[in-house]
Amino acid sequence: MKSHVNLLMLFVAIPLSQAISNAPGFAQPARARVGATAMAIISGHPSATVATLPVNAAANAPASSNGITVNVPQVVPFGAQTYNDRMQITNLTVTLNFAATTPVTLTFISPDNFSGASNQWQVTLSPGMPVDSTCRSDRKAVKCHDFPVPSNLTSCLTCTDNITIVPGSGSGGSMQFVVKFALLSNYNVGGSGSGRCASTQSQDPKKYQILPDQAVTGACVESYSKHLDQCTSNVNLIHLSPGDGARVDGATCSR
Amino acid sequence: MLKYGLIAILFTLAWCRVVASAQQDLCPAGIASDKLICLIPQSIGVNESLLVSSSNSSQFTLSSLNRNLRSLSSSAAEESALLPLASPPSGIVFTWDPAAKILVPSEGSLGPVLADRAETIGKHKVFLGVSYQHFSFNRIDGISLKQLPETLTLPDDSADGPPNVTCSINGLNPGPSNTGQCGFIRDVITTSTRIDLKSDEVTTFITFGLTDRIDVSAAIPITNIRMQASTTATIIDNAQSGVFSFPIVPGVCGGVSGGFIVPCLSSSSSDSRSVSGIGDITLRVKGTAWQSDSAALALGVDIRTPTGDPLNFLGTGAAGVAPFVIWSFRSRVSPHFLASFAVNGSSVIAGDTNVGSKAKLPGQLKYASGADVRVTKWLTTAVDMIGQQVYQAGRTSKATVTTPGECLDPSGNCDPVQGLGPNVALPSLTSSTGTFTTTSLSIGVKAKPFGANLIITANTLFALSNGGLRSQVVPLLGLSYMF
Repeated sequence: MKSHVNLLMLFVAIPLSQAISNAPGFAQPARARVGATAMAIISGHPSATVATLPVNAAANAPASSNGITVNVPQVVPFGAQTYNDRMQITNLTVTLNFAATTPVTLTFISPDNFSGASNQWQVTLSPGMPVDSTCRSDRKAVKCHDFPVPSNLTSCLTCTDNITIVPGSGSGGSMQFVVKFALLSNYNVGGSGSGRCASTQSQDPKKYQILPDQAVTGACVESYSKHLDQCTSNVNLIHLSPGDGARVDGATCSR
Repeated sequence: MLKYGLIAILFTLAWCRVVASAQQDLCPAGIASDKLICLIPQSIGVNESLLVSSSNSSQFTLSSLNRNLRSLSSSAAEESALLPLASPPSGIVFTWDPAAKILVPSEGSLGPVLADRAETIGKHKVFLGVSYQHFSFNRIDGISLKQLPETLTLPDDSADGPPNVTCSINGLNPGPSNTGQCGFIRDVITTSTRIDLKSDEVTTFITFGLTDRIDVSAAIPITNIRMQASTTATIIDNAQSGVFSFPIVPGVCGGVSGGFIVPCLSSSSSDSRSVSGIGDITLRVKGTAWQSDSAALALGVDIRTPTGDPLNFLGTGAAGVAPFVIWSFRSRVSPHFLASFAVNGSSVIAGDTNVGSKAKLPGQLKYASGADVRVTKWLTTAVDMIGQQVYQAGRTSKATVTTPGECLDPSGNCDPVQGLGPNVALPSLTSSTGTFTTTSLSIGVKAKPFGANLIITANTLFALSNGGLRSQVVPLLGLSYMF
């Protein structure tokens, strides 16, 4: 029976500020002063090298070449700034492990519709690829892409989702990439008055698809939010516990 | 009788207004005020231009900015309300002709413009005049109103640094209190405020000769004041962390670039207002105490009534009494000298506008010395040096604030190993109380072109010193008639 254990579940309680500092790819000033702790779950598929996936991951995906779907729930009603003291989910980090070191092509499919632009972005990643200096949100990024403003949010000039890809630092699988989503279409950072930082996520849930051309051996998603008075800043994201954040659809995730 | 009744009513109305506005913040945050005295502090407050979003609980305190700008506002209010008025009855002097046994216009000069002479106008004579003055203020205490700098630093912060460390710009530099997680404490906001303050004042003078040697006068100013305050504030992100940002205005300031929120490091706001109304009415009693064939000495008193709205720079909000003495000599070249000392009551514009308290308006010693010259029978020129010493008034001066240097660590973590820039001294303002002197040169002409009792006056006042609120050049035009 032990050889058929397909679920490894750990509960780790760590200070949230430490969790943020530890989040892969997030080079942030460790200035968060939230004293709460985050409950972290690590679970895995038999083929995944789960032990190297980051702590605090919400779910792992089954190995599949069909891709994964990142499910982002709407936690604040459209147009409201906060709900139950929470803001909309603003950032995601998806860590992807691959079994081989051969280049992998990922196709990202946005759930939004864009006027005159595709809702897909395809990128090929390989180990040791050079840094792309045009990617502003992370100096280690190798690829990045801005989706335009969704056609239902044309008045929100800052509502552009960004995907930034950074080589992973963990040893999970043979190759690891960290995909960072800045979901700026989820909150109106450039608004004014009560419209500033108000939720612009109209879909519940909002589902991003990531389609690889080779098997994913592990996938973890971590979710981040902000305080209302911090919504125009890049630093000090609030790390959400798995139950409060996004998840990978279809993955076995239990506590 | 009717006149005294009107004056009593005006007194009462002014007193009620001042009392009603006392003991409360005159320019409360978040509530736009229509009063000029609130324009400067609220140009950066009510309009939210200095609302800074941050990633921690630390915020720039606006108290020093408010303190200095409010002080500036109060000084402007005080001094704009204490502007010199044209001399009420100085025009044609009637003298007693013992041969004809009637009062006849004297053949001397037409008198000074902003000063006065000792002679009275004559028994039962009435002088009616109106003058217009334009003020375009450009300096206060020598500081250009076009660029008033302020520098704001962060207060000590024990909430956002590492455990048991209070982030502070006053600690050992570099040190744990201002690097690493405390690097944000190095951030600074600089502001530059431009004030455009203009005033047009039309003053009506009425003088009545009670006796041969006693005049009573009233000066009733009606003023239009226009004020615009523009402030530009800039965040100096010394920590390179992007923690502080003004509200992002897409297409104007900050925004999104590559998934990265670009902080808005600059913010501008502007507000303007225009008010018109009656100013402080001044009543004057002047009596010739001594007179010879060509010289005279007069004593008198000016009583300023608080009929103008002090919060709109129209009046002082306090009564004032100014006894004066005038000596003058009558000839083709007529020298004259005037000195007065004003004692003022308490006003909200001299107090703390944060709580609406009153304080005593500064006392003023005024003096004027000059001469009027009869060029022709119908033309007189007048030159005066006009001085004013204002005691214990609100003053504004320039200062510097030493701010910590930038972190050279581009990651935002302010690692001291990566280096720190040198401290930087940035300009700011500071307020104080002190005595200052103003000196002005007045040059004007008076003409009686139609040979009758109609006098046209033109004058220019040139500022020669920097004390107080100054308008470099003040033109004056006047028209008066003696009945």
